Amino acid sequence: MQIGIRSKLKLISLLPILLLLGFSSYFFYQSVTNYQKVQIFNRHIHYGTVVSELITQLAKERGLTAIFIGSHGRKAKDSLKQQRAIVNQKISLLQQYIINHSEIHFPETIKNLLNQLNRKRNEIDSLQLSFEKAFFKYYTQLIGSLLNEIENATSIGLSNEIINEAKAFVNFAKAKEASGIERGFMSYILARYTKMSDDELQRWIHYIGQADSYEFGFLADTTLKQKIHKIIKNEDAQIIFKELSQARVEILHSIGDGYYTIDPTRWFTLNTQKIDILTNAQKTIFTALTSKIDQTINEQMYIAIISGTMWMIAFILAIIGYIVSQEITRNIKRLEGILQNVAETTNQAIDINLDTPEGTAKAYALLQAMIEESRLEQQRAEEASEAKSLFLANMSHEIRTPLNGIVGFTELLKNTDLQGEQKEFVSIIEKSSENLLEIINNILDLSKIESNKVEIENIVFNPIEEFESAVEIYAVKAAEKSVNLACFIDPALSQPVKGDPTKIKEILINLMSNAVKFTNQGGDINVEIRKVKASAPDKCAISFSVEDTGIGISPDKKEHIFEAFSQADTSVTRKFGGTGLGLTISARYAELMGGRLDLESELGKGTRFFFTLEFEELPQMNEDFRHKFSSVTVAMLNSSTTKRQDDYIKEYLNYFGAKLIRFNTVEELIRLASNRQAQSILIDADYANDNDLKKMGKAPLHCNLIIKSTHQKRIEILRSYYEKILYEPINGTKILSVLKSSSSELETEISHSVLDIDNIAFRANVLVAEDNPINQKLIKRTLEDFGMNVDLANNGLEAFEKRRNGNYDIIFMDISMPVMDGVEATHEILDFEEDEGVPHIPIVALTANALKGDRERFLSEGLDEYTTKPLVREEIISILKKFLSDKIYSKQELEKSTPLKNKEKVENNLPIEEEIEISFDTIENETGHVNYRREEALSSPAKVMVEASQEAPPVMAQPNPDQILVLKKSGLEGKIFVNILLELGYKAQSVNSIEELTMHLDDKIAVVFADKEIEGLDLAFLHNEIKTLAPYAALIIVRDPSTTITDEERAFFDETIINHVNRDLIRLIVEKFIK
Amino acid sequence: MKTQQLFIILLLPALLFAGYFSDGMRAYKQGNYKEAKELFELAIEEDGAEQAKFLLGLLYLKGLGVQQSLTKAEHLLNKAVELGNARAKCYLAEVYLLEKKKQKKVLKLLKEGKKDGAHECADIANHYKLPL
Repeated sequence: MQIGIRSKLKLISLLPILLLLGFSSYFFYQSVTNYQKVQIFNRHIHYGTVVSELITQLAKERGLTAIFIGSHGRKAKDSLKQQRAIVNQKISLLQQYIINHSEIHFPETIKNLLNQLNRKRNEIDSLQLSFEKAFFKYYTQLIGSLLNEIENATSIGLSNEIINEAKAFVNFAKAKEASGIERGFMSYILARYTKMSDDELQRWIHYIGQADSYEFGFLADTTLKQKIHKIIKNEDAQIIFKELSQARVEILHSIGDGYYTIDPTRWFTLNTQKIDILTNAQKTIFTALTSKIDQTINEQMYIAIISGTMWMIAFILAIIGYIVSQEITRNIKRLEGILQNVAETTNQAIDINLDTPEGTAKAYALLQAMIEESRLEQQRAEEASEAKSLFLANMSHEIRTPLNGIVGFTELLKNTDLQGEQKEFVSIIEKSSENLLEIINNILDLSKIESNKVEIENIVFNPIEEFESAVEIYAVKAAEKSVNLACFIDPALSQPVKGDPTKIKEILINLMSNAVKFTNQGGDINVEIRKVKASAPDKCAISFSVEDTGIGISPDKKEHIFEAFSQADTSVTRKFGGTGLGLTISARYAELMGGRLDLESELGKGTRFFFTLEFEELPQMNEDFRHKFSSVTVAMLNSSTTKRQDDYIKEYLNYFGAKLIRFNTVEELIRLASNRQAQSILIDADYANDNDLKKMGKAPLHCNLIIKSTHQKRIEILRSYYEKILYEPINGTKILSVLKSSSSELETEISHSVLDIDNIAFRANVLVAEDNPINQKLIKRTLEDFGMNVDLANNGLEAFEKRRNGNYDIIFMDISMPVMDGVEATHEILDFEEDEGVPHIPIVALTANALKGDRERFLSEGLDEYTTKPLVREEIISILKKFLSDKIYSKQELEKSTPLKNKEKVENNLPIEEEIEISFDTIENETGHVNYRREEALSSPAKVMVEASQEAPPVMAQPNPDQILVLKKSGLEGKIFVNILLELGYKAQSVNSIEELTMHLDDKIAVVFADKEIEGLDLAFLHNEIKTLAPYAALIIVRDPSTTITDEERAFFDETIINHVNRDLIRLIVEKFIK
Repeated sequence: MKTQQLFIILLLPALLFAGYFSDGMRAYKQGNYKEAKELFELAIEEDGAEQAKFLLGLLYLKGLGVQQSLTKAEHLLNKAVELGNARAKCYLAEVYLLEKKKQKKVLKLLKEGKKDGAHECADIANHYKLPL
């Protein structure tokens, strides 16, 4: 038979409790019965004592009666009378006791015997009763039956101990009785003084046996035993016992003649003493017994109380257990119901019965199936989400192509002759489509982040350069909105670092875009990029901060600001536009690069976004201009209003070591100039009116004007008065250019000892081993710039040959070359030098990509120094300074005749030397003043930090390449691109295929734009084609934001831009390559 | 078993029971009547020994160790009869026979004594040719 789970449960929960209940009930019952038993026994003992006392007194009466009869009523008459009164008293006590204790069945025989007492006494008094009849037939019988009564009453004990003690008690009572008989009987004999009959002798001997058998050895209680022992075995008692036995012996000896030698008085006394001893022992036993009984009563009472309490507890527990089991049963029932529901919803015809193992198994199977089901559902949901992401990405991509058309043509339309409202409409279309494009790009970026497709690049870049260009992008927008954009990029970041400049710039642009968006006219945006303490010495930590005085973010919105699709307020979206995805993307980028984008904000006062990233810092030396301009003093116009930019300028000047003084009026400025207290002045156009500015600009100093790029009219007016127009925001490079123009003047005037980086030259012969002809040209050109004689070798073997035959001061050795590589050639050269005993010529390794540990590897191979391609001017100078310190000279030494104003030109060692005068007005271009020198056809643009004032157009024999080719995947886009370029004043042409592109390639081509996504595009092939057919052309790859570019691919082109039709962007990039 | 107990009692060290009466009894049984008389007298005086009166009375009756004195014997034996001594009854009867008084009482005493187990009464009756 199956027991249901519920029944099992009940059994489990109730069984122990029931067992407990059972046990406690048993113990309770037991203890109560025991208690009752003890109580009964106690009463019996009391009854026994009453009876015992009666016996004692009856025995005495019997003794006296014996004397009385023996003396024929002549002796002990009075004593007997007294004793009879005592006996009567005891009898009445006993009768009283029996009446009070109705449960005692007093035997009828004893009753009859007691009733005969008075009659017997009368008979004795009248001497009608013989000794025999009175002594034995009546008294002894009565006492015997009373003794039996005691024995019977005390035989029903509860513990052996008590029974034994009771037995001992009875034993002593019997022995006492026998002794009493012996005493009385023998007193009678001794008083009669005749020979004993045989019967009498037998009787005596019988009673001797009984009188001496008071056994108590079986007592368990040792203390009691010792007590009794003490009573019986003490000296006095022993003397009595000894005398008694001697008396017995004497009597026996005189049995023959009947002339007993023992006096009856003496005999009586002796026996009485013995009986007293026995009585004493009996009393002791009785005391112990009663105390034991009391103790037992107490014990049983305690047991009863405890077991009763236990029973109560068990009973309560049983009730609770029952309730609990009922509850569990109900729960199981409910669970059953729920499972039944589940089974019904999943259309499974299962009858859930949890009461049976099969039912439980079914329920488990059902749950398992449900879990499986939900897991599958989750998986399906994930797949669906992934599909959605993919769809979104594809859609965005598809949307962008037509959108580019809209943007492009709008751009073109804007510049046609539009009337009245049309212009407004077009600008609305332009703004809307740009917004749309931005939204789509953001969605794409986000979907890429969410599908973990974003990879963080780790390339070497110049932080100042990259960050300045990033900030520069928003200069115009900020200026348009009349927002003061101030920027501080720590000049201490002079060393190149390894990281992902694109992503960082994207974050910065994003933050600045938000800042511009949410800051009202006249507000401030401060961008601070500072070098902070890094975790390791070879690391470089940079903190970025973009602060605005915009609308701010309320604290409760802060938490969600970085979550996708959650701009601070939906009303914000309506008012300011945008998807709000920018911050999400930025935060994720920062996270991916190991930082954390955070913000502090106060509603209505502004917001500050900040994050800190750590980069690996390269040991390569860029020139650090720290405290290099201590001789320069710059004067700045004071103003009542202050801009953060002023503080930044002060900080920049501090860093470069230049002194800063302030002036308030034109007069003060004139005084400064006449006292030659300052070399340069910086004036913020916001701090003075045009007339004052014109006056100040006339000061005979290097006058620099800081102005917003949108103030075109003012710029036109003031341009001619100032040496330099510096557009906001001012950055380190701009300050540096100001300082340089001032300090070079100082140098010529005061000292020629300081070698200027731009005028440094070396009288030395150099050998360059390089297989790539373009690189050959680049290196040759760079080194010749330093006044060196350059000899070229196409591979290691050639280099070795040339070294053996020629005399050089330094060798630049490419590492990967055909025939013999750089390391091998170095070994050969070193061997040769050792064998021939010629002095060592320093060999500098050239590598394309700098890997960690390369430097150590090359130095261990015997090379003296190491540098990466493309060559960085500052680095080459530091290397050349290291090895050719004795060959240094200043180019200015050769150009003593050069007029002061014209000294900022490049000294070329090219065959055709030309001095070009450059006015300050032409130096600055519109978007900033980071100008890139367009070197002769380079495989990658030489990232040479060149000062604007030093800029000179390349003067070459070859025709000036100025044409641009555009290869776009859609003809429409190509057309837009070409139109924009044409509008910007460049010569541009669109081609539709790679074949067409190669056809157009010649040395007039300066820039080639090509879409990355063109089908069948082989970058390596295209690179080679361009290099061979159009050696001066730079290849610019246009790519979708979703397209990634690998490091290998990066080597094949000069620049990459996002496919985003933006006039400014295109202009910026083209200006980089065409001056 | 009873004989066994008797045997054990007999085997007990045969120390003599101390006391004037017992010593007197031993002297009497050895025929040292003079010594016995003195010891019996002491026993009566010191210990209040009841049976010493009987034996002293017997000594006076028989004139053993003392001058025969029927008066003294009668007095002492009377006391012994009061105690219940059966033999004393016989000898008191003899005293009365010798004094030739209380004839009725003599017969009663002899009968009682004989009944109580004293064979001396029968001897005395025989000696004085009295029918019992």
